[in-house]
Amino acid sequence: MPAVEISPAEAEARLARFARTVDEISTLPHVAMRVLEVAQDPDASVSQLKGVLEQDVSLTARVLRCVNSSLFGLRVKVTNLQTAVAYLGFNQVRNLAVTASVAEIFRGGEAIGTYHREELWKHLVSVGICARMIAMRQRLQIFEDAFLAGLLHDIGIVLLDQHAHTAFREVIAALQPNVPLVEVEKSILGFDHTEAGERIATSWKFPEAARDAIRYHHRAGDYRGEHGAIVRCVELANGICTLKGISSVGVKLAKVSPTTLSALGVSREDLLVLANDLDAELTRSAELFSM
Amino acid sequence: MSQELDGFEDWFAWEPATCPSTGRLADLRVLLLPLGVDWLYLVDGQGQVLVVEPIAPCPAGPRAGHMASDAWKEIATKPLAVWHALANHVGAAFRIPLPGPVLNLVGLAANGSIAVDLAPHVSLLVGVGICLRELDRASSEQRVLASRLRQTVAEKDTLRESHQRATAEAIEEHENRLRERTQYAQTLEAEVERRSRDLIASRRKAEEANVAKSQFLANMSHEIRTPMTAILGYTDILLDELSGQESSQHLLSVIKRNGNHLLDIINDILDLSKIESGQMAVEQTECSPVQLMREIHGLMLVRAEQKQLALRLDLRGGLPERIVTDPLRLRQILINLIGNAIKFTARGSVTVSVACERDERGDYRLKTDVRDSGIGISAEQLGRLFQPFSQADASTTRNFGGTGLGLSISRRLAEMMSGKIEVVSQPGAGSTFTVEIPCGKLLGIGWIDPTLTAATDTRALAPEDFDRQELLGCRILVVEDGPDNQRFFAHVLRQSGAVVEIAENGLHALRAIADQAAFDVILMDMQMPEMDGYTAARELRRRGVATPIIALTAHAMSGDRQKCLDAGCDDYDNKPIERRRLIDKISAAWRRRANLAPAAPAEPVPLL
Repeated sequence: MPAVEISPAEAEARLARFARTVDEISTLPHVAMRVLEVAQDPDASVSQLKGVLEQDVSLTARVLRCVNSSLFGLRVKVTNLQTAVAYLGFNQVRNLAVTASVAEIFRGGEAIGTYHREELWKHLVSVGICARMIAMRQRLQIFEDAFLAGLLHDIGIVLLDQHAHTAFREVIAALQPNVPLVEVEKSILGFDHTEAGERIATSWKFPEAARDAIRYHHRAGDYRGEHGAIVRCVELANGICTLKGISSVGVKLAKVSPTTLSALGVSREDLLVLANDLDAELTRSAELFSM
Repeated sequence: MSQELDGFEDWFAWEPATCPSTGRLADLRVLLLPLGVDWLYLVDGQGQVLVVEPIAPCPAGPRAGHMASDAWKEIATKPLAVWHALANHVGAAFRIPLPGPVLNLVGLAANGSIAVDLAPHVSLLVGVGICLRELDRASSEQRVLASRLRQTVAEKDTLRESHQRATAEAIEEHENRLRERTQYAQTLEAEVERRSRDLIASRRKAEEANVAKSQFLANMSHEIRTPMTAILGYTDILLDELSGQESSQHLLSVIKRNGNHLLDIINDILDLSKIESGQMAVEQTECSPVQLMREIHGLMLVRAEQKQLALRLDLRGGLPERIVTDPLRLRQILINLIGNAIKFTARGSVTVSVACERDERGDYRLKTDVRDSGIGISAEQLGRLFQPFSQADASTTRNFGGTGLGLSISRRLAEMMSGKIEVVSQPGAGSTFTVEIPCGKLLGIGWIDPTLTAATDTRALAPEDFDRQELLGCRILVVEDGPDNQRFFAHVLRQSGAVVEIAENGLHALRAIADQAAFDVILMDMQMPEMDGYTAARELRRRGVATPIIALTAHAMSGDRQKCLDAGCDDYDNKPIERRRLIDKISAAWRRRANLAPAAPAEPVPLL
């Protein structure tokens, strides 16, 4: 860790510089951006989504493979997106499309200590699935949005890996079992992955709920926006997954704020049940991890 | 269960732990605390610690792991007497029977020293401990189960609600689409209906326009034929008067030939207009087919000979003496077909075969084949042969002349007579047109074998001779408004020896015939200003004037003929006037009048 404290102004400058770099290179596949754009348009139609996906044949194929996997247990073979939407609903197919398109940026990259992109991807999908499960059990109808927010919540980390690689290596090297990742990031980079993620989410026009979950998934108690329910689901899901060993950067350190637990009304037993049921849910969703 | 998720207890540090056995442990504490017991250890015979339970509120000090196993062995085997009194208390408090295995229960002070020796009563305390643990675990599992139940129900509810909403949305979406489709279909239907209405309206307009056109032409019939009568009539007169002056005669014959040609065309057009405007009616009159055919043959023979073609009339088998048909129209059809055959045959012959055949219902049909050895008609041309305004080939008009209306008129006339015209042809191999006209059951009609009677009618071939003074002394009143035609009639009739007087119209005629014996024959134009021919004829008959009246009209229709006869006329002739026919009619009427016998036929004199 550097001995010199980074001033807020300097931190902000670094963050802005980082965001610019990412923006310029724009590693998010064009298709993924278009899918996200369509995904948050309340008036978006099935044919629009279809139109975007069809620009990438392999993407469509992956989505359909997932639709036909044991995840949904459909008794018919779905061969086109239109039918997929008819069976699964627009939101679910949209999420599959986003998942498949975002998965692209997690391919490749070498292991850095306890960190590996593939592991991070596994963490993101798991948190998505877990957030969705929590939302459903909280009787939230926006559970598919919770999935999307969970899936994207740590996008900042992979972006740091890709665009601030040297510094990121330093961060990973400096990790300690009892120090939260964000603190290590702040001390080395001047900003953390939630801030970086939020910047990019804004400029890439992610759905608001996803953007807020990216920013506040470690401190939902501080969040005052209108997507509190989703942010809390993601925070809890992140905590559960991390404790279960499915962590973002290989550190099994997770704290869920008391306000989140009390706001969600989750008891010790509830937590045990969630953690327990998650295993079955993850097994069922195996197809998502290999997208 | 906590093994499944280590670490989360920290998350609940803010919340005091609660468990149902807490109350009972409190009871135990009441017993043990005064004895200086901070921890309660359950140790087996080998010194293994099985259960550790804190007794003091926040005990510090020794834990199982911090003690040497030897020390534990010592504890495990050391009898402790103080428990003796406790056993009774505990047993009474929990009413629990003592379990079988003997274990040591050790109460330790915070400093690690053994506070009490519970050995004598270990069984009892073990029982209490196990029960408490079991209760605790049971209630914990129960809470997990309850939580799982609650979560599962919530998840199912959420999914169901989501599905219901999605289903409702899908249904609404489908209903909207259905509504849109229905509206669209209704719009389409309305559009179709509107267009159909427009089409019907425009078709009706077109039909009305066509009818109006035909009506107009039919009405113009008089206007057109009247001047033609004058032109052709005067040409005839001039031809007569200029006999011997070769060049002028040639010029005039050209005028006459072209005039006749023009008249043919006008007649075709007017006929088609009449048919199309529904003014053409066929009548049913008795006539002799043999006589009719010979007449037609004689008439057409002239034209055939002009082209040096043989025109054969083949009357096969027996023919009925009389049939009922419209002889005027049948004649028109046959003249057209034979005329065409001659026109389109350069060399060879034209054969007209007539037979009367009986069909399966016992009705007879007069069947006439007109066969030529001409240019023939291609299959493609056959298709539109009977369409009006389309000759087989546009160049046909240039090569052969004519309006091309003849065939369509003929076919329509045949159809009006419930008959038909068919054609078989091959290019270069000639054509055969067949006319079939029904002629009824022919009950009580005699049959003749035409081959036994004279085969030619020479009358049509005889040179016309108008100087025979056939009407010598016949007094004729010509009622005619057109000055040209007045002069024409006067000239023609006077040439035949008649005494002619002219009346301008019906009124003048009535005045002229004040004396009933003044005229032998009245020639009456039917269309006149002030008083027309019909009115005048009726008035004359009303006044008892019996002088024969021959009506002249430009409307060559059976309806007109009947109208003339109804008005009291004796006979009827069409404009344009043919001298020969007119003189014959007048002469016939005059003679009938002169020889007026009681047995005079009531029926009209046949026109042919």
